[in-house]
Amino acid sequence: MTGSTLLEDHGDALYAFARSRLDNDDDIQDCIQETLVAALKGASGFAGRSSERTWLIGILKFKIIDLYRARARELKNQSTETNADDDYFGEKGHWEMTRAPQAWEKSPLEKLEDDELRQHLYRCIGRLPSAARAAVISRELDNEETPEICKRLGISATNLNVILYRARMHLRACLEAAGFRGAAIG
Amino acid sequence: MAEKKPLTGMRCEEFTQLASGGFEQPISFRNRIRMLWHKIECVYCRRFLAQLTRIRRLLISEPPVKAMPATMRDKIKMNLKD
Repeated sequence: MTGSTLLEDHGDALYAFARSRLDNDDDIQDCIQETLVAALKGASGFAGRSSERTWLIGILKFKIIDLYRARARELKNQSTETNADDDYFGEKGHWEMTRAPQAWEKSPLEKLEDDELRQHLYRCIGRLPSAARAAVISRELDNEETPEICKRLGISATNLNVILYRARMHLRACLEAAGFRGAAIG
Repeated sequence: MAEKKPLTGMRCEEFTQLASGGFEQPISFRNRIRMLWHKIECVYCRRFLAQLTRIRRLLISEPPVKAMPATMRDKIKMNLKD
């Protein structure tokens, strides 16, 4: 087992995994590189209970978590706001007409391939503040449970709910802002 | 004892909060009825829920494997040799 062979055999899979969780190439490269180094160092510990790729993805996942931890200070200093401009509702608590969800059904959205929409989503996730990004990735992509995420991010369950709520509002609006608008009839 | 909110007249803001929270924990029976009632009368919240569900489904599904950029592959290869 060498770094080059691991990179040849699993580089694309590691890249795809990291790409959906990190928003810049430098971080992606660092995490993949550290993953391969850790794999080479711990190769003797690979018991073969899972596939080599699953094992590498497992290491990469922890490298990404380490990166989030390294940014813990940023997380703590951030409020739960995703965007100052998130006044989706009017005084009475109903949708502001200019920000209300548009119909997607008759929009190009339906015609787009899922992977294209996914790329837009990843870009929108990349624009979230670190706290929201980490929460969305842990919850939606990694399907982690609330206590696990709260423990890692050092936040309460209520705070996590607020962060996820605002992040989801932002993601939906971000997709519409990216051009996913349809007829106003739904 | 907290006063129960009426079954009708839910605000969109509360609907969206409950809908998002519903992905984390179960929604009470009463709130489900309130949401159902609101959904009947509010097209925007119907869209919101459908769009949120679609976004979640997409994120949960496996992304297609994209090729690592050649420059990144070369850099990693070079760094691994060092």
